[in-house]
Amino acid sequence: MAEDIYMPQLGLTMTEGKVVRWLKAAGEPVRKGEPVLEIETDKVSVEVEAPADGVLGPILVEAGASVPIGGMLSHVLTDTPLPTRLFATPRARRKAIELGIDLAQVEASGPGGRIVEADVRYHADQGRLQTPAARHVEVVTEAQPAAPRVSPLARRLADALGVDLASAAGSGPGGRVVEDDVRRASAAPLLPHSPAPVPPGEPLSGVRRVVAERMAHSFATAPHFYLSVEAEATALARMREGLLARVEAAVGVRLTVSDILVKVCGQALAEHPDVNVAWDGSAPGGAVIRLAETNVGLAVSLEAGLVVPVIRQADRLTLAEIAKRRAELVDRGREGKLALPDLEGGSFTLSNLGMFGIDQFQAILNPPQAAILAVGRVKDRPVALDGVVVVRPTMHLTLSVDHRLLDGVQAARFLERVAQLIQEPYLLVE
Amino acid sequence: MPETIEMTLGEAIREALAEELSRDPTVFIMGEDVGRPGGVFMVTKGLYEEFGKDRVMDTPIEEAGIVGLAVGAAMTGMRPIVELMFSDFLPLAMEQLVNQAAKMHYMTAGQVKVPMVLRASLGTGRGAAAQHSQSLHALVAHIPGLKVVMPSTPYDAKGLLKAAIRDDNPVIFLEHKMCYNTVKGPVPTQEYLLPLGVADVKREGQDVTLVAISRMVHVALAAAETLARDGISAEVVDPRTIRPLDKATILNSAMKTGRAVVIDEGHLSYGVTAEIAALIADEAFDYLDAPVKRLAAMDTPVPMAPILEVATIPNEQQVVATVKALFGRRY
Amino acid sequence: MTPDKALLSEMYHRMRRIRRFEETAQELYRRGTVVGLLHLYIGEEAVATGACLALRDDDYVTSTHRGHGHVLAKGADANRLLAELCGRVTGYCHGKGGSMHAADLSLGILGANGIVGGGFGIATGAALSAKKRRSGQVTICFFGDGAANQGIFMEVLNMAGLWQLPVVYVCENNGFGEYTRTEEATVTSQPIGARAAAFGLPTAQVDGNDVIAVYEAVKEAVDRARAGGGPSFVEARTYRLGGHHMGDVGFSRGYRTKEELDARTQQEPVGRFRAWLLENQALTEPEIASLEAKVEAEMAEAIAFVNRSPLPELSEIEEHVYA
Repeated sequence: MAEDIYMPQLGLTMTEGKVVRWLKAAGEPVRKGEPVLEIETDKVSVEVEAPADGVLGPILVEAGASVPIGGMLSHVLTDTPLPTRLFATPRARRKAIELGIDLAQVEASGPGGRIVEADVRYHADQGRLQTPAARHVEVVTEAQPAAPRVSPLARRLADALGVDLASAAGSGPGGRVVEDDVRRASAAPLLPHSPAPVPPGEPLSGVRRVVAERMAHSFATAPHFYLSVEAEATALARMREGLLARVEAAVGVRLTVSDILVKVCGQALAEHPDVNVAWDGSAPGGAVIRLAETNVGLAVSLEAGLVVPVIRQADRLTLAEIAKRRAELVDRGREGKLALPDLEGGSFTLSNLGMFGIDQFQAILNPPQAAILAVGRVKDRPVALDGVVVVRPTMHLTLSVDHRLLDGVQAARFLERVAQLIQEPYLLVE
Repeated sequence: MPETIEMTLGEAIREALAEELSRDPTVFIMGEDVGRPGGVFMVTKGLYEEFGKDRVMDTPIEEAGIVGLAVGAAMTGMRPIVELMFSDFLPLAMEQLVNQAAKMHYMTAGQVKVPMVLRASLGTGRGAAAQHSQSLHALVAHIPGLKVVMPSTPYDAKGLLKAAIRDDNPVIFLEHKMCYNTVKGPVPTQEYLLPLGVADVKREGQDVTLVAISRMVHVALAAAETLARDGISAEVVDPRTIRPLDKATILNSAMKTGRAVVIDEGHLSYGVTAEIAALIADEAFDYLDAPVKRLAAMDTPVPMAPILEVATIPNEQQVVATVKALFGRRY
Repeated sequence: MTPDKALLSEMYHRMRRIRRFEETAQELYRRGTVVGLLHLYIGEEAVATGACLALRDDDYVTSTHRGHGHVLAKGADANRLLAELCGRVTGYCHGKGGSMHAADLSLGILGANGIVGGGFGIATGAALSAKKRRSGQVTICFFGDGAANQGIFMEVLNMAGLWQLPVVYVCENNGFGEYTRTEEATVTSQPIGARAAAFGLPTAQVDGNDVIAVYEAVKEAVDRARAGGGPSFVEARTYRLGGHHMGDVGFSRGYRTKEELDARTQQEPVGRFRAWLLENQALTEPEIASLEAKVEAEMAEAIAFVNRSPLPELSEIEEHVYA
């Protein structure tokens, strides 16, 4: 019998993966669990293991080629006939979709080797890093209980095409939204019209490609609005100066403005839980996910592209801890060793282009988050103080907000607090 | 006057019969040994003396004829209650039930009704052997036009029997022979009816649904107690009426718990458990966390020797083991 | 004692009506308008007529698969009966019963029955019911020689006798049980009534093609029952001129010959009674012709009624499963 090796799904928005390189050749013996090939997904490179002891079959997809999820890559010839599909109960599957969990990652404990609902819930909880007081994600839905369902393929397609599932009328069994419905509801034409011949472009791959897809989706589906504030950075700079030596001594890392900003954002999020939310587009009409932790992602530019490693519970970490964590993540990123837990679970993103001399910019939301803060450089600028023009170091903060989740006033209050914490950083110790 | 009185299943049935005989002169009982002898299970004891031989008729041993007469009497203004000692005798009367009673209302497009009740005992436990221990409710539940009721408690039995007698359709009312004298429970002293076609949740739970019929209700309840000690909360659903089946209650329970075991004393194959399990697997599919399981009588005739007989039907340990095997991680 | 003119006239009318109805049904069956199974009563009209004329309107009858004769003789409406045969919603049973289950409860017709012997239990139960209610109603249970071999016949004879129920068992011995001759299906050559006599029932045997003889024998039994004298048995010997059903194998299987059929046709009851009436000057030719014309008009109207009757809606399927 043969056990299939197929392109696994890692992460909800992944629709295909690229074969990076084969670690074993056709005809080679493999052991169960042994890595057989490397694939690249939207965020990371991952090794695919042999599903059983046996001999590797023919290579069906060469290195460099991409296949959709579920596509056959090879197989392992074994003696024992074993099932090749992923056994999970219907209830477990529903729970996985509800919690955004990839079933291929879930350890099965049910009778017959099935994944049961408890396995999914357990996995969801383990996905949080080991903190004693790990709390459950609370899913608050505003949708009707008797809502028509969406086929998994339709859901993936809707994500990729940026289709709001509420706008897709279901024509499948039981009123399910199926692939055709999503295609019909998709407003964007799938193929560009190009009357004039243009030279063929270099196809995007890997991280670049996924960034492109995600940004397009985000910008197309989330109604962005922007709030700007200019914050005086004097106190911030002074605080940083004062702490540099101590932090270096404690964790061997140089404290940056971004580190402090991560702490500021974490604190502000903790105080404004209405901003610490995410968008759930899978429920018809949409739903608000209230996140339990304030996990701040820091946009990092790598050679491969943009990644956003997440510093968890930023409000609870000390500046030294944040600096250390940030350094770890950036190092890992540079080495291409970021793992999924490093990248998932963010509730807010901070993007700082100040070091490149940018005064001010508007960032695109990092889906499914509600807001992203774009920070420009600290520069001496004229400001009015007591009726007189003086020169102070200031920085521009621009908050991009998803209007489905937040209104102007809520966002403004949050940004106001961020600015306040920057201008009076001693408030962080309150 | 106390609100309820403790009585046995047999006593509750007798009360229902007596009350309906008093209330409605068109109601009468007919069957073998039901009159002067008081019934082989003593259910009709005393009714002959109270109501006379016209209302409680001893018949010859002619099951087909007796049931046929009941059909004719029901078609022409009476409400006969036929007692067939054992449900094993249903086959003797099947032509009258299946081709006549079940279909008269339909074939005449509503011109005639057949408001009769056929009561019989069923089940193992008496060493009564293969021809006196069966639970053949599946045979009659299969026929459109018939209703089938199987109470498990005295409270259910009295209320359902009264309702069955007042129902304008042919109702087959099956009582477990081992429960007549051993199953006791409170019965209201005030008159009450229970609707046919409505299930009863005998015990609420979160983790698994046990759909149980007749005596198996008590087996399921005992199993639920044992399971509770192991931290598994079982919900026991008693359909009470097999046809028409209260699908909504069964499905809501299965959708809540995600696991279901159907427990019955009919044979495993081609029976009532298959119907209920298919219903759950079909309409609660997306909510299931485990396959739907069935526990029923073995697909063999019932052997006489008690040590063999008891092994042919589901017991508490089997229910507990079956339930536990449905779980993976408990989280 | 010869019945009076009014009764004789009614006898002929009913027999003629049954005959013409059956012939009409036969013709419509060949054309595909009558659907399903059809078992014609042709040749046996005297039995149903004589017996039913002995009954009150509120008396009960149970019938057989060959039931049009009994149903019509008890007073059923030809329109609604023909429409039922044609599967129309205007039929007695909305097209859901068909020929073998036609019923009219308002006339005490407890239904034709598709099971041979299916009427035994119902008729006896109706008699039990009538006795309990002290209504004075009597039930006639029509059945054939074939049904007399069913076990339940013995069962109901026992109970009817035991409880002295007001029921008359009228056995139409028409010579055949489907494709088998009566004498080939029964070991004993004793009359069927002997079985009833064994249970203590008074029995009679009459020429089933003599409507007056049938009437008198059944009337005696009915009166006895109504007076509280218990059940009786009447065997009416007749002959089935048609096949067992439309689509019968006919002569091909050798269960009867053409010669036999021709000979028996000479003795058929309707023509025979017509001749008797004229011979005995009980009715005149014009009076007879007038009855016949009435029957023709009724049949024409029944056909027209069918033609303008709609088929049942699909929603009818789920109606009347439960009361």
